[in-house]
Amino acid sequence: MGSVTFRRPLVSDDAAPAEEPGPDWPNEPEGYTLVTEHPFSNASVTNSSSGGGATGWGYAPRSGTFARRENNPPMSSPYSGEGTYGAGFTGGNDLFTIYHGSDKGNLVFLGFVHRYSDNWVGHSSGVNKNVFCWANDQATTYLSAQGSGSGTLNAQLRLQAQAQGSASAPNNALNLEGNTGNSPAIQRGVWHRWELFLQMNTSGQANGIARLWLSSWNGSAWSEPKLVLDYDDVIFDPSGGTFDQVEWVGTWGGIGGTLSESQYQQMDHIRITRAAA
Amino acid sequence: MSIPDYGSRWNVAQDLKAVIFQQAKSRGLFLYDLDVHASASGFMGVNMIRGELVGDVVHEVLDTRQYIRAAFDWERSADPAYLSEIAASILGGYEAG
Repeated sequence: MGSVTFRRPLVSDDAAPAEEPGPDWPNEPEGYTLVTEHPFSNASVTNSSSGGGATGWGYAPRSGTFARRENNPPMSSPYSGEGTYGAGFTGGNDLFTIYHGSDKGNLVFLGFVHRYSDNWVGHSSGVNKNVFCWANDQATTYLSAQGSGSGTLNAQLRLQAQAQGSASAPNNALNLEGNTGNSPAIQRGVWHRWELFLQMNTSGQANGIARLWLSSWNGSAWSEPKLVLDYDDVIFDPSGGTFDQVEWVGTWGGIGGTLSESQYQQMDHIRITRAAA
Repeated sequence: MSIPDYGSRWNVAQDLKAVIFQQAKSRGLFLYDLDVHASASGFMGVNMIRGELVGDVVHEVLDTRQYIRAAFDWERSADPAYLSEIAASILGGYEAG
């Protein structure tokens, strides 16, 4: 595989320099080409029959409610997409799917700006999924803000399907927890910018890469991005292959349990880029 | 019948997930997570992990995670009896390890 040049050094401590004014996605590798963006900002689309108004995106409803909110999110104001879990929502169900399904190659950058409602109740399993990234036509990875009840939420990249994970993962090789000593909590009611870089492993080799940076929005500026996950020994699929579909589904759980009051996830913007062919 | 678009496949996968969950419950199988997705090539990809309750928190039982790829006949995707049959087959495969 070729080398990847990141725009910023891979810093993971508080001594990192303040972010220079620059791109909205400071950790996107240099030279990557745009696959798609979903800004959730087309006010003329009041339902999401066309994927919320973004070309190439699809939508299918399920147990939640999709709405467009005029709440001036940080990336693509004035609208965000909102998925609401009503009172009585049961664990294991999805909001809906908003998906983009083309081949993304073996190196992919996925950035999105997202927040959990300020009253967010973490599922009893601790699993609070937001976005899936598929590989080889299988739902191989998803991101979750792990935490139950009103407890602390921490980002994880969780692997499934044929993934064999990382030998260096702290507890379970398939749950990639923060491993940089620098894992800021996901704060309820606050916009977070998630920047995920994935490099598929070569066939039979534990050399896949997963990196995740998080920043939070204080109302006028982004915090310094923190490198939360940094793994370079991942087997996403023993046969290697390519990443393909990305979808926002917002699964609550886990299995079982019921919400006593409504809560939501909001999505400001999704951006997917890949290494040039 | 050709394999439908992703949104349609996804909804059938969620229907199947609900059936698997109900059957698991009736078998006394306590799950931490159950994830069902329908592939573009037509199979159902099912991820299952057993759970155990510790206080108010459900923990995954390590080494009980399985991924099952189940062939699926999309001609019969609207037939509840077929979904029940597939769910039973998936659970049987899971319990057989």
